[in-house]
Amino acid sequence: MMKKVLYSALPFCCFFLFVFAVAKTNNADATFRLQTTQNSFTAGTPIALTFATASKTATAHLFVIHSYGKTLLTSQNINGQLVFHIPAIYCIKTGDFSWFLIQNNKTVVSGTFVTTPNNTTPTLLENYLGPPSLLTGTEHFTMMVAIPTDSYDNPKDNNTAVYIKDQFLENITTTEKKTDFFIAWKNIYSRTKSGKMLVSTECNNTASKEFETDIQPSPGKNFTINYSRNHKYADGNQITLLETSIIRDSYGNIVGDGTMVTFQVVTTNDILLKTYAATINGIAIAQILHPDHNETFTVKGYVTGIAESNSIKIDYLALIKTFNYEFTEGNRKITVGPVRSFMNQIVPDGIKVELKIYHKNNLIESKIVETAKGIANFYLLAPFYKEKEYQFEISTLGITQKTAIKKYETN
Amino acid sequence: MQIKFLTVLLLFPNKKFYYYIYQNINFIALAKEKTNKYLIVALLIGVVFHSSAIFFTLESTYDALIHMFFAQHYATSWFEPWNYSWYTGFTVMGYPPLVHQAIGLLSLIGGLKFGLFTVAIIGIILFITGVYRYTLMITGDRNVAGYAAIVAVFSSSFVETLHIFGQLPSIVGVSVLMHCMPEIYLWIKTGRIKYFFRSLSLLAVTITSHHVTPIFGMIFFIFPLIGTVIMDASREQVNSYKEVKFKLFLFTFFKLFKRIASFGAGSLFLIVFCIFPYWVNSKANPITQVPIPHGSRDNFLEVTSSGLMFFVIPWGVLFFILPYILYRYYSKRYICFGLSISLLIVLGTGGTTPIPIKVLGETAFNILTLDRFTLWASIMSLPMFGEFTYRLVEGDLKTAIQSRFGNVYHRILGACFAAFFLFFAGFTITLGYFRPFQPQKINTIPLVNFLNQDQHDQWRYLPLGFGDQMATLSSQTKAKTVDGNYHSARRLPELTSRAIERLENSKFRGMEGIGSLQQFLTVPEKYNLKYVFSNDKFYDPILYFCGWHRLSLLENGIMVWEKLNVAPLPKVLPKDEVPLYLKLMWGIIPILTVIIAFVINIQSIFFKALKIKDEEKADFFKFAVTYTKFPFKVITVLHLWVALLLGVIGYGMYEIYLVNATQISPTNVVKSYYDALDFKYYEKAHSYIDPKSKLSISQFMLETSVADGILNSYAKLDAIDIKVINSSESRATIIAKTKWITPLEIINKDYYHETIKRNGNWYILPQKQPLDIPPDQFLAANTTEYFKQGRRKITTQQTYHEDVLKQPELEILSAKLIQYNNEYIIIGELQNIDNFPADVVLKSTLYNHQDKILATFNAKDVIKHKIMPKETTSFKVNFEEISWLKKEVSQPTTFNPKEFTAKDISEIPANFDIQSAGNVAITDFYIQVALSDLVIENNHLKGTLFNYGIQEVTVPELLISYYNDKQELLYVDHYFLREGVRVQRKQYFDYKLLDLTHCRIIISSLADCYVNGLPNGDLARTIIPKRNKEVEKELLQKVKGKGFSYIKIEMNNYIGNPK
Repeated sequence: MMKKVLYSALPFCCFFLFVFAVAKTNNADATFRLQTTQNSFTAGTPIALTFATASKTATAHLFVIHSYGKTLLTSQNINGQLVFHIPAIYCIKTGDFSWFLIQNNKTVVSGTFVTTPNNTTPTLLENYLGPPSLLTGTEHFTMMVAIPTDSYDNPKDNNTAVYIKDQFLENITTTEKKTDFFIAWKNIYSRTKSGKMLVSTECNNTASKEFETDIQPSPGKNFTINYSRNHKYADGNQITLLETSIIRDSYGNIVGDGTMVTFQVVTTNDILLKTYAATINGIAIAQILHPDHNETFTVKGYVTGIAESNSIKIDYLALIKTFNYEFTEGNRKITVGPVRSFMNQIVPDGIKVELKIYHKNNLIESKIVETAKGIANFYLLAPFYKEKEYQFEISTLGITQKTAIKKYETN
Repeated sequence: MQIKFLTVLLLFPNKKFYYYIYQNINFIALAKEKTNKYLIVALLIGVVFHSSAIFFTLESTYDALIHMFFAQHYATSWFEPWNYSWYTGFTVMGYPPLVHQAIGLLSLIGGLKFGLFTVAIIGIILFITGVYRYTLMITGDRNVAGYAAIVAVFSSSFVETLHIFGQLPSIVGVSVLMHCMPEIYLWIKTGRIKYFFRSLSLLAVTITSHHVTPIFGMIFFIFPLIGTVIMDASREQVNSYKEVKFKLFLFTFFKLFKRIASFGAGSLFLIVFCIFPYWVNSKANPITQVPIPHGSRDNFLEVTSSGLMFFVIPWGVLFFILPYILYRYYSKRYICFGLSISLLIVLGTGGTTPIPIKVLGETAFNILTLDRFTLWASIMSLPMFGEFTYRLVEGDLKTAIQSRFGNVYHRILGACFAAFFLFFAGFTITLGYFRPFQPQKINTIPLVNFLNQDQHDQWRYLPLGFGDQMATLSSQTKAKTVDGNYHSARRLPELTSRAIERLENSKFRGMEGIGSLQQFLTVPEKYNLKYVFSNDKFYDPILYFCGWHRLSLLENGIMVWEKLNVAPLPKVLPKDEVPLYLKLMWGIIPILTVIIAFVINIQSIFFKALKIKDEEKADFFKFAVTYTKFPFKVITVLHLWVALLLGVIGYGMYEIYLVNATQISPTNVVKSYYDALDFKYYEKAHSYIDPKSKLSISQFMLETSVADGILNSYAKLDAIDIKVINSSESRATIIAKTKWITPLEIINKDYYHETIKRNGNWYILPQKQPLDIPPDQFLAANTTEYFKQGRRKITTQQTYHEDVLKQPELEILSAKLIQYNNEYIIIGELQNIDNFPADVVLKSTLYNHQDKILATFNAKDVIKHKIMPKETTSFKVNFEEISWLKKEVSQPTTFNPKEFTAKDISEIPANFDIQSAGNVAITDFYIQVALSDLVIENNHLKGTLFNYGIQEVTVPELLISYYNDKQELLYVDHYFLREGVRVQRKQYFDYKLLDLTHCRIIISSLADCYVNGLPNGDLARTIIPKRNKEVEKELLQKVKGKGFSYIKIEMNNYIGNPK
C-alpha cells in the first residue's frame, strides 16, 4: 500500500521541483542595447536584430509589428548577446517595422526600421483597365492603372516611370507616368470613331499583356424612314416593309447592332399600331400587315427618348366595293361571298367576316368567320338563337352591309 | 442426418438394432424441435421473390431514395447531424438513424445501392421470421406459425410498404418489434431475467430504426400483449378461460405488476434514451410545417385512388376473412388484441369516418400518415390469417366445409382464395409498373457533371419535375438545393407555411405549390438560387416570365435554366450546433443497440436455427387451442360477408363503368375526349371524332399540334363541367366548361361541341380550324444575335477581371408608389441605354417614416426581363407576403397561380427605393411581333398580333401601361394570350380595360432609384445628355377610360421551342 502511494507521489514531487527550478533560473532584470545599426533593409534580405546585455543569462522577447502582421520572437542569451531573426515571410515585405523588446512583461527598448523594395529583382507589373467599353466622344474615358512591383510583390518607390501606351486605328500614343502612392495611372479618352482600342504598359523593361477596350457608338441621331410593299391594296394579307436610313451617332458612326427601333403607325381613326425592329448595320427593317380596309397609315420611327424619324403616309386602297350574301336552310345558314379581289380573283383564305346579330336593334352577339375560297358560312343553331326574328350586320374588308329582318321558326 | 441413418441401416442388418435406432430417433425428435419446413419455405420464397423484385421496384418507391440520401449523409459525416444539401440546411436528427446508418455502413463496402438492397433483404428476412415468432406466440402452434410466415411473404400490405412506399425503417421497426414480443411475453409470464434483457435489447433496435413504431406499438401491440399474458397467467389458476373473471384478472395483474412495471419503465427509458437527440431536436425545432395533405387522410369513398392505395391494397384478401379475424381476436384470451385491432381498423379508415380525427385529435391526425394503422392492423391479422389458412388447407375448416358442401366446393373455394391472394400480391407489386408513381428514371450523371463544372456548385439549384429522384441527385453532388424531400425538417417559412410536399412537383399542389415556386423564382438571390433543372416543360413559361433563361439542354433531356445577378453561396454557411454528447449518442447508440441485441440473442438464435440444444418449450405453447371443430356459424357469417363484399364491389365496378365508359353518352364522350387530350393521347382522342367526318389521324394531329400556346402546351385540365344544351336521340350539343391550370394563371374556357350517335356510340363532330394563310412560302430574316465567352482563358480560377463584362447601363425613366385595391405597388418605366442587351433585375423596398423596411420584393412577370439596346419596358412590383403565414387567413381551396397574398403593410409607406441591375443577356429577345390591328370599344381592347419573324411565339404577354390625363404613368397591367402566334400568322386578343378611378399615385420620384449600385441618371446623363420627353408622349394611345386617359401596349414574347 505504502509503495503505491510512493509511486504516485514521486512524479508529482519531481514535477514541482522542476517547476521551482525553472522559476529559480528565470530572468533577473537587465539592460539591453541594440547593436544593429542598420535601419533600412532591402526586401528579400535576411534581417536580424542583435541586442547586447551585461547579463549572461537574461533573456527577452521581441514583439514585432509590421504591415504583414504582429509576432513575438524569442532568442537565447549567448555570451550577453541576443540575436532575433525576423521571419523570412516578414523580410520580403516592404513597410515600417516597429519592435519592442520585452522583458518580464515590460518594454525595455523599442525602435523602428523600414524595408524598401528590392530594385535588383525583376520588375513585375500589375495592371487594371476599366471600363472595358466606352462610348464615342470626347468626355468618356477608360482608366489604365499600372502597379509596378519587385519580385516579392512590393510596390516600387514613388516616381518610378511607367510607360502607358494605347493604339487606336493608325495612332499609337505612349505616355510616361510616374508612380504616386504605388500606382501610375492614365485616363485614356475615347475617340470620335468607334472601334477597338488596345492598351499596354511598360516599366523597367517589363511589359504588360495587351488590354483592350471597345469604343462603342453613341446613341443615334434622328433618321429617316421609308417603306416598300407588294401592292397598294388593303387585303389584310400582304406585308409592308418599313425601313430606316442608316442610323448614325453624332460622330457619324453607325449605331450599335441591335438598337431597338419602334415604328408607330397611326391609323385614320387615331389608333396607334406598332411594330419593332432592331438595327443591323444601322438599318432597322420592320414589317406590318396590310390593313383589311381602306386606310391611311402615318408611320414614324423612334429610338425611345433618343431619336426619331420623319413621318410618312402610306395609303391602302379598299379591295372590294361590295359583296354578296344569302340566307338558306330556314335563314339559319348565312353564306357570304364569294368575295372577289382587285383582279377579280378570289381573296386569299382567312379574310375575316364579321356578323353582328341584332334582335330588336340590340346587339346580341358578333361572330367572326374566316373565308375559305372566298366564302364564309355562319350557322345559327336553333338552340342558341331562340328568338323569332333577327337582323344582321355583315362586315368584311371594311365594307358593312345591313340585312333585312329575318324571321325564324321556333319549336 | 437421413443419409447417415440409411448407411447405418445398411451396415447393421439387425432387427433389434433397427428398433433401437428407431426408438432413439423418436426420442430425439420428441426432445428437439424439428426445423419448421413451412418457415424454411417461406424464407426461401420470400427472399427470392422480394429480393429479385426490389431491384425493379425499390428505386421508384416514394421513400427509398430519401433513405439512401440520409445514408449518404451518414456515410460521409457520421457524427455531424447537420446537412446543408436541402432546405438551406437541416438536421438529420429528425429521423431515427439506424436504417440510414446501416445503409451508410454497408455503402462503404459496395456503394449506396448495395447498402440499400442489403438492408431491404435483411428487412425481408426479419419480417418473415418476425411474423413466424409473433404467430407462434399468439397461437402456440408451429404449423400455424409456418402458414402465417408463408402468407406474410405475399401479404399485400407488406408488398405495398416495401415495393411501393419503400418504407424500410418502418418494416425493420415492426419486424424487430414482432421478434421482441415473445420475449416480452416470456418475461412477464416467467419473470426470468434473460427474457427481460432480450426483450429490451430488441425494443431498443426498434426504437432506433423507427420512432413511431415503438410508441404506437406500445399501445397497439404491447398493451394487448400484456393483457394476454395476464389472461394466460389467470387461466393457469383456473380450469378454463371461462372461469377467468375480472377480479381474477385484476388480481393476476397486481401479481405480475412488478414485471410489467419494470418492463414499462425499461422501455420508456429506452425510448427516451436511445433516440434522446431526436427528442431534444423535436423540442428545439418543433415542426412548424402546416399539414400537408396525404391520401391516407382522404375520404376513401370520395377519393377512390386513395382508398385503393391506403385501404384496399393493404387489406387485400384479409378483408374477406375479417369476420374470422375479429371472431378469433374477440375470444376471451385475445380480447385485448381484439380491442386493439378494432381501433386500428377504424383509425386506418382516414377521413372516411369521423372517428380517427376525434380519437387522434386534429394535430396528430394531420401529422401522422394513417396508412400505418392499416399496415399494423394487417400485420396483427397475419397470425389469424395463417391460422385460417391452416384450418382451410389441412385443418377442421376443411373438414367442416367438405362434410357440408363437398370436396369440390372446398377445392374451388381454396383455389379462388389462393388465386385472389396471389393476384393481390402481384397486382400490388406491379402497380408501379402500370401506373408509374415517379417520372421516368433520370440519368443524373450529366447533372452531377454540370454542377461540378465551372463552380456551378457554388450556387443552389432547384430540380423541377424530378419526383423522389431529386434525392438521388442530392446524394451524388455536394451542391445544395433549396428544396428537399423530408418536409418535417424544413425551416424556411416560405416552405413550412405551405402544404406542399416539394417545390419540385408544385404543380400538383395548385395555388400553394405554384405560388411558393413563383416566390422562389422571383427572389432567387435570397436563396443563392441560380440554376433550375427542368424535367417538366410545364414550368418553362413561369421561369421565363420570372426572368430566367435557358442555358443548355443536357444529354439526359433536362433543360438547365439560369438566373443572372445571383451571388454565390457564402463560404461559411450557418448551421445549428448541437452539443457533442448528442452527436456521440446519435452516432454510437443505434449501431450499439444492434450489436447488443445481437450478442444477447445470438445464443437463442443459434439454438433455434441449428437445433443444437434442447430448448425448453416456451410458455405460450401451453395455451395453444386444438383445431377440432370449426364453428359452422362462423362459416355462415363468412359466406354472408363475402357475398356482401362481392355485391358492393360489383356495384362499385358498375358505377365506375358507367362513369368511365367513354362513348356511352354525349357527356362521356366529351369528357373522355378532354381527358385524352390532357394526357396527350392523341390517337385515343381522335377515336372519339366522328368517323364519317373523314378526319384522318394525321390531319387531327396536325390541327392539334399546330395550335401552340399556354393552353395547348402548358395547361393541365383541372376541372371540366359538361352540360348538354340540346339533345335528341342521335345528336346533342354540348358545352364543356373547362378550367385549366397553367403555370401562369388559371384559364376558364368554354367549348361548344356537336356530338352524334353512330351504331350506339357517341362521337364528336370535328371543329373548324383557322383558315388564315400566311403571305409567304419561304422567308429569310436577319436578326442580331449575341454570344458571350464567359472566361476566355480555360481555368478553374475565378474569372479574370478583364473578362468581366461591364454591366449594361440602364435608366429608370419613371418610378411611382401607387395604391390600388388597398395594395401598395411600385410601377415605372426603364430603358436599356447601353449598346449591350440587358437582363434586368429590379428590386424595390418600401420604408416608413423612420426608414424602417416595410416590404421588399422583385419585379416578377410584369416587366420585360431581357431587353435590347435602347428598348424600354414598363414594370410593376407587387409586395408579396410569404403566403398564409398567418394561420387565421384561410387558404383558398381553388388554385390560381396569379393570386398571391399581398403583404399586409399596416403603416403608410413614406418612401421607396428601387435597385436595378443590368447584366449582359444574350438570348430571349424576340421583338418581331407587331400590333397590327386594334379596336377600343366598350372598355375592351380588341387587337391582332402579327408575328413577322421566324420563331413561333408560344406565350405572348401584353404589358398595358395606363396614363392619366397629364400623361403620367398610373398603373401597369399584364395579359397573357392563351394561344401562341405562329410565324406570319395573326392572333387575336380581347383585353378588358381596368377601372382605375381608385388608383392613386402616392409618391412619384426618381430620387432613390439605383442602377448597378449607382444613382439612377448619373451615368445616364453622360450617355444621353438630353432626353426628349415630349416624343415619348407621342407613343401613348388616347382612350376614354375609367380613371385614365392614355394607354401604352408593349409585347413580351416567350418562345417555347427556339429553333
